[in-house]
Amino acid sequence: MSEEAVSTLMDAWRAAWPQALAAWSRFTRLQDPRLCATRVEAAGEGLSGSFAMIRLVDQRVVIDLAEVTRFGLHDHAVEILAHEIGHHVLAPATASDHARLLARIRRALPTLEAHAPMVANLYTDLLINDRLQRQCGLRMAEIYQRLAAHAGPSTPGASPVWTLYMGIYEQLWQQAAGTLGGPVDDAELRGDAWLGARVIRVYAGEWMDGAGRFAALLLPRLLEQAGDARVDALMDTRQAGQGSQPAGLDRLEEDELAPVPHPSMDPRITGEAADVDQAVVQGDDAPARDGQPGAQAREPFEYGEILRAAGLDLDDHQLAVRYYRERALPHLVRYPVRPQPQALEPQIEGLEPWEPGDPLDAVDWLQSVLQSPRVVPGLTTVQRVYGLAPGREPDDEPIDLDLYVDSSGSMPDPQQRTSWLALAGAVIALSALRVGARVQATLWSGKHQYLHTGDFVRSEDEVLKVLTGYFGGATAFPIHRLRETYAQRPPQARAVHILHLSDDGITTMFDDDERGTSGWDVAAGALAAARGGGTMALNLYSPLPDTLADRAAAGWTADLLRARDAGWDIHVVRDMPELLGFAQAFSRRHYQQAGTGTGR
Amino acid sequence: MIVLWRITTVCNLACGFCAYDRRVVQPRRQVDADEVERVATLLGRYQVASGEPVMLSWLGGEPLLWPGVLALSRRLRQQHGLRLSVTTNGTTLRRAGMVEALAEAFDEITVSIDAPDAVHERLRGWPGGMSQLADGIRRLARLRDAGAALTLRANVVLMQDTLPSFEALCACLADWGVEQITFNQLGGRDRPEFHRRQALTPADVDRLRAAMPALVAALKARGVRLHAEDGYLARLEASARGQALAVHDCESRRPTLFIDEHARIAPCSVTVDDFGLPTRALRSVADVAALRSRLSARRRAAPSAVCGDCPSTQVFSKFGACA
Repeated sequence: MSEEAVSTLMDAWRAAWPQALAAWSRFTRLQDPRLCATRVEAAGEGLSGSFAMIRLVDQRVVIDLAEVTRFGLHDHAVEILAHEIGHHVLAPATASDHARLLARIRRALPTLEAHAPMVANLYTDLLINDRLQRQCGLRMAEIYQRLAAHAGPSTPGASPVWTLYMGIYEQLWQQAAGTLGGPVDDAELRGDAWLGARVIRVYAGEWMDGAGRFAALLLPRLLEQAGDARVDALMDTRQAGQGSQPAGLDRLEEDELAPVPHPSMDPRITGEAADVDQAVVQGDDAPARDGQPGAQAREPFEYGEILRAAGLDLDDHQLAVRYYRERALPHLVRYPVRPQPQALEPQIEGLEPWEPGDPLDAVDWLQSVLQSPRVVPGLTTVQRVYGLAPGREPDDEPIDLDLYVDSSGSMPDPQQRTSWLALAGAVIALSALRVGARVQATLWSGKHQYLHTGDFVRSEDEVLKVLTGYFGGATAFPIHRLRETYAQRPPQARAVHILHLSDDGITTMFDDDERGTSGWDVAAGALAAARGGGTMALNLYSPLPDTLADRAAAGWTADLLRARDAGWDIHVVRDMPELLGFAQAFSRRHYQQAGTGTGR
Repeated sequence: MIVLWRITTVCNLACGFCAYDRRVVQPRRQVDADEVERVATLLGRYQVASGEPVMLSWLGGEPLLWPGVLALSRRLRQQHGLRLSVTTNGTTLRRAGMVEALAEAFDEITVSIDAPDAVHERLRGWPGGMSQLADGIRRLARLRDAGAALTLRANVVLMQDTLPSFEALCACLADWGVEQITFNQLGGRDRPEFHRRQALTPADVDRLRAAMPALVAALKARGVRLHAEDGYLARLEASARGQALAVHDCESRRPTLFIDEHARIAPCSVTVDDFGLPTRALRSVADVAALRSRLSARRRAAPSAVCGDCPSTQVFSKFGACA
């Protein structure tokens, strides 16, 4: 295209934007569309493979005008822009709902979950286009006619998915069979197209509920689905979630667990047996899970697959960080803080000139006007001067947290399965960071296998990254880390609580260090220097005897009993109830220990 | 005669090294059940006529996801006297009655397992799968010990992440009641990007070869056969060193034939595109009897480039000389 033609096209599409918005609402949070003149420009915006996309993270529509022109759709600006706006307003609307939609569709596509993004895209396109064509009078059908015409006779035959998809539009818009490329002679496909159209209409207002049914309808057609350029050109939500932060995915929702009925078995769709108990279709026969609605947690692996399907480009470790943060947040505890000998409070001591260059909000306007009703900056302006005076209430200061995470082969890999210890660590670490504490985290396994944050830090990501790492090697506690942390820590530094997440392998902490010093001595020294106490949360399957003076104990049991005598608070954490109990006990113990202090 | 048949490319696991990883978007094929039954019946008649035992071995994908596989296998075993075998990822073992149904339908069951711990779950994308797999294998072993005519085998894919725990895995499998263990090294044909990260090095294979005699002996003492013949280990070593091993006449070395999901029959899985014949071409017992020579003639007429570095584990006696 010539520069002039591009410019004219850009102007036309910009002019179409308000009209497209009007199809939904003029008061959306969408930014103006990003109109790209070339494919390279579009690729730079994350758009490739299709001619349009919605980005949920910054709520922006991106259009590849070169591709639009190639498909002969340049005069459908309002339709295409309104369609993309529909993804923002109607479905999926938000990154979280996009991910929830994908989770439901994946459930309905056993072994073919990889197709979930495509199915979700087709489903939401149907919902949007049906509304735009019927209620707003936009020419959505023409877009598909143009796409079919563009494919031309040289393009390989349409896939069954495409034929069914077009058949659904023909049913929705009462077009003659085959007008848009839907099935003509295939009675089974025509029947499925009718069911698909019913799903779109019946579940238009509860589209999340209809998603599984739509996927179940497509399932047999997906089995042999190869690449289809027609379908690929429509994938405008495939990268929609890129850069976003979907929330609430750590738990399975009730309706997700219910069996997904094929639309032909749903009386709301078929209109048959309308007196059948709706509960059966709506999945109320699904087994109750401990009487708690939505109580079942999603495993990290599935969580990651859903986020990836939503377009998030994250590796396993980054996904694990998000997963444990999301699971830990509802369970944060009152983290211990300690009273300081004295708190200082600001006390007004007088006024001094305010000069240009000082912060504007520091000007004391009342006093300045009293100096002179005619304000001359730098001449008549004044600001308050503060000194510090002992306060009446003592100040609080959080204790820091020193976290040691066992990552030997006997521990679960937190990136694959829920690790209750990693979750316990996340709960305590995030609670600590929330009240202003600093956290040092060390991940360890065999000899020389350890990694850690750079000193005590305030970064959630940095701490969670260490917490969710995995070596899976041998077991040798890095005793030198413990030794050096407290040898180098100045006595006036904040108190520290030492928290170990491990199993019986924690007893390797008591082995001699490389200098021949007893690990018992190093641990005792660290505990004393830390001044904030020490806890072990352990994945143990042989519970410790209740009695400390169990003389018969041997091996690691004896070591742990001795550690308890030495001042380590030991908890067993193997499941959610034990984790919650541990978190509460941790908070209670240290809150009470703090005496006059407070937990925040 | 052992006929390996990939009856489906559908799978429910996400193995980063496998072509049929469920995360890979591609057409999934299920072989036509009527054609399977027709060919199997013909093989049964061939067995009677020739006296040569025939074993049908289902591969996938995950063959136990192929609709009707249990009923058909049981029928073929009972009505035609064929021996039936399946290689499974074990995900269906937890279903009620599944273990009993498998013992009734199959003479041999091979379970794919790569490590004794969470490494297997991670590699296969099956969180929590290890305990299910161990439980399923133990229940199969109990049925066998109670009298079911069943051979229980495990197959291990050796790669960087699984090699260190191979000995421990063998010990676990012996504990669970597995009686044969086979292994293959990670191949690079299906997922080269995974292979680059995980392939065995020559030093890995050297260590494996050095450790093998003691491991074979230890397992033998426990009644477990670890298939680790010298020729096969030499194949592993050559692959790790990037040395091509050409095999231009494999008939005498390979007890197997292969049929793919499109019902094309060939000497092995990698020569289907070159020499494959449609199973429709098998109309009579005579056709089956002539099959090997017919395939051999096709191979000689237009040798396949892939034979210049034969990747077939059967040719290198993965299952030992008696397989």
